[in-house]
Amino acid sequence: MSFNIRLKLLAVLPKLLMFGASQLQDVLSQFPEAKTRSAVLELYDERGKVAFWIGFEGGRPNVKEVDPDNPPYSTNTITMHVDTFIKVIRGEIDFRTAYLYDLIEIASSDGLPPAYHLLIWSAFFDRLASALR
Amino acid sequence: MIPIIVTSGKGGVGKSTVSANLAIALAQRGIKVGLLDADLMDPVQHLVFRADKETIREYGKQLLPLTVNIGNGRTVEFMGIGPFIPRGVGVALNYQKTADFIVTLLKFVRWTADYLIIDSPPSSVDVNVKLLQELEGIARAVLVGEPHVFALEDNLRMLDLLRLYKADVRAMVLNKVGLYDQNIMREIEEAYSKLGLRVIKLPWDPQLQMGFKPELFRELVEVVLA
Repeated sequence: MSFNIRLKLLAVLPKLLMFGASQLQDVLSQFPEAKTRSAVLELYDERGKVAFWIGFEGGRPNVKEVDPDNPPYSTNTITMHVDTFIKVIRGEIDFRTAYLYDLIEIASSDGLPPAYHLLIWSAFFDRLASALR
Repeated sequence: MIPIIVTSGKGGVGKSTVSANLAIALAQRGIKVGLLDADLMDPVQHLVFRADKETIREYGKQLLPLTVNIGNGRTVEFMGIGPFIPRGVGVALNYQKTADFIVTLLKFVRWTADYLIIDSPPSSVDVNVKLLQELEGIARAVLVGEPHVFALEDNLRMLDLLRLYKADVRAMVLNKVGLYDQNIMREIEEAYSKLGLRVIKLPWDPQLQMGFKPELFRELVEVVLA
């Protein structure tokens, strides 16, 4: 993992990974399609990038770090600068607002429009920001 | 489902008012109706219908529209981005994202209505072009304008765009009649009539700003349903 990004994520990374195990199920339970949905969250800065896979494995929610150059399949990929991510999870900027400001890109792999994924994942990021605050 | 685009070449002429009242007037007749707020940059219908701060839901791989109760057991399906984005945030969407939102709201929402009223943004901007492309040959349309010379010029362009994409233009709603000079009003009405448009006049009524008066829209209902 990029040293710079690791430093920036130091305070939030353990909580982010714990969040996956404890609350993802609850967040995604409002969406019947949740168990077939996954995302690769790609964070970058000027020196490199890191990636996390968020989704269900064996019927259980999971968040894990993956190779950003060879990530596993996901229904969509969410890409943003690490500083934007930190602002989002600190509640300093709303996930949807960041998308509208072109600070976040969403690519879809399952035929659904990126805006569809945006609306669905907004609930996840709302809860994540709330949990980490 | 029959889409009915409510549009105009000029902003602030009452598209949202006409859209909301038309939707309610149709619903009051027992018709299943949906309302799509396609004005991505300045959505207001979520305020009109008090459907702000909603949680998004899905069924299968479709988003569920919100259900707005309009009284007497009648409802209107509603969808737009207004309820889901924070208040006061400028919508700085590029064309790709704009088109993506339009496709999402049109085709990935579980509309069950027989008629879908589409409140569109003003002028021949990219959102309207995308809308008309997606609905080419299947949409009915209602043009809205004020009896004003500049509004006429802008609506001539919008009318051309509607016809280019084979929209069935059912009516030209002249809104805020009474605010403008009567001679100009007659000239404008005549100009629209010469273009083969059915002109429907709505009186200037401050109560229509944020309220509903579906009884004023009976003629428009007949025209869009015919």
